[in-house]
Amino acid sequence: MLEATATKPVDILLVEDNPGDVDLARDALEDGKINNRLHVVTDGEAAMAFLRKQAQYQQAPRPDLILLDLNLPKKDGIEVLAEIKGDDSLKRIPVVILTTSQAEEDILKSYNLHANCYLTKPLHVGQFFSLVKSIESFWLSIVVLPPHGDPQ
Amino acid sequence: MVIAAALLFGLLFWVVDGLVDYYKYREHVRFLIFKAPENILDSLFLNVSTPDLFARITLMATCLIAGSLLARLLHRQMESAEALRASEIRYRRLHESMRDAFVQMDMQGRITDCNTAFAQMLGRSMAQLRTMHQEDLTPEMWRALEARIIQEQVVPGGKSDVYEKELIRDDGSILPVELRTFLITDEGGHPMAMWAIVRDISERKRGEREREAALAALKRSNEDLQRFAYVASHDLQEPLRMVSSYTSLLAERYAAQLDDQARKYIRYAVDGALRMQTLIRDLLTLSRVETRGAGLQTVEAGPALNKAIANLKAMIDETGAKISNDPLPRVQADEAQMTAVFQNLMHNSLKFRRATPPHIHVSAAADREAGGWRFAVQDDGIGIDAQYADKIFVIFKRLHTQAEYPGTGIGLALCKRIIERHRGRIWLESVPGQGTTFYFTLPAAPIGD
Repeated sequence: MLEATATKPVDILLVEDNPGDVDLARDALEDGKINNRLHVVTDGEAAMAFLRKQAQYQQAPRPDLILLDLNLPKKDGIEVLAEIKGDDSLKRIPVVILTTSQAEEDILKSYNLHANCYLTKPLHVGQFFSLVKSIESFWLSIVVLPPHGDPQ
Repeated sequence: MVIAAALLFGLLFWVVDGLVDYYKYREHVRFLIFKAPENILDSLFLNVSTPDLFARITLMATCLIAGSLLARLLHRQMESAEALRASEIRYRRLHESMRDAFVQMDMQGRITDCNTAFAQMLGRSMAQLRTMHQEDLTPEMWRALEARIIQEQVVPGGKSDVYEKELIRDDGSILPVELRTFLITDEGGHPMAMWAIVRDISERKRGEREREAALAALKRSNEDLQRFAYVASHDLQEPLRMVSSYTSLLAERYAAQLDDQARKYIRYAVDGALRMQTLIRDLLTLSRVETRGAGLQTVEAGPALNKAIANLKAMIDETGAKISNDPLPRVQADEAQMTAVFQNLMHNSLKFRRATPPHIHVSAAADREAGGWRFAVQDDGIGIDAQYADKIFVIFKRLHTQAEYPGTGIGLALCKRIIERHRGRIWLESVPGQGTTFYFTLPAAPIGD
């Protein structure tokens, strides 16, 4: 567990349209203990292109973790979630919903589509940092991530 | 009448008898006419033997009695014919003057009779209707239903339940009606004919349609409101987070370059943003009272109060507060909202306390006028000036600065909205410096629950 993370950097895909939140997340993750590479896309279509290595993302790595905002232009987060979890080659990648919405319908929809967990962005910036660090520590050092092999 | 008939018979006999007598006693009559007798009676009964006389009197009496009996019979016949006719006239008058329409048909559905009301209802003449089949008057889609009702209810049971259908008027327009169909049987109990009382329900139908339309519009409006509230709050939260997050970061990361004044500015900015976020959340909560309100059910007020107390545990412990209550009744309410009301009122009581640990007492009394219960949440806090008694229920209206007592001013507006949703009232009585009692009414639970 700990030995594996020390060598190979973990690839995180952040799907977020708000540059302010992108910077905050980047800040928080850079500050963290785990070696990671943050990739950012700003809308749902780009997210799918990245995951499918299409268009300008042909060299893109397969992310170990996806942080997904729901409120996105073009294709929204729920649609992206549905596509990821509906795709045999992508569905194993843990998807963490990170959004402002506390609406019950969003929470239900997300879990119904098999989001791995749902987090609401806190108001205070300090709390936001703690949250991102918790995500990092839980998903990247405590949890055993699935291997990259072929889909079953 | 009787007497006249009797006399007639008597007279008839007398004449017949006289003729017979004349024939038998014509000699005597001739004698009588030409030679007046000394005694009338003798001349009348001249040479009539006693048995003969006796027979004659008996026969006469018999005829008189028979005559009177026959007369009575005839009279009675005439009387009952009279009565029948009178009753017939009364019935027909009633029939015609009834507002409700009446129609009669044979077992095949051919119309045999109807009243003016029925004819008017359909804009046709009675004569025309008597040539028609009830199917001619009924739109296609109702025929199967009606046939089934006749088969399953009218023929076996003699009458149907009240059912609805439509009739076609002369001008082609459709009239919604409700009716009950009855069966007429002959002496042997076999179905002979059917009749129905038909009522025009177009007013009622229009009312129902209007009500449904209004309900649908209300539902749509509620949904719109909810959507708006959700989108607005969602979209408003993000920019606010940016403002508060980055001003905080500014303060943190550029602390060295900032003086006290700058830090104060930043603090105001951050506070403003945070308060805005809370306000948006509160507005959402308020809008959800209607749109997310559960149906009103029988609820025990005691447990609802206990839940509110549990939710306020931290604050109760912190202030050393003492909460007491009388036994509380069953009400017709949304349980979660009831808990919210108790919680908001008690939260206020705890917040606006005096120096000593606050006492809160919750009680209830029957309120016959309101048809339910009047609850009281009484505290010994700082009290409220009478002139503000109405103002404080207005959303966001506060009586203190944020520095004195923090809060958005939504608690009481929320309580008011919830109580109004339950068709109750909320008000307060207070003595500044001594305490406040908030009163609110809720409907009683139906008996038997």
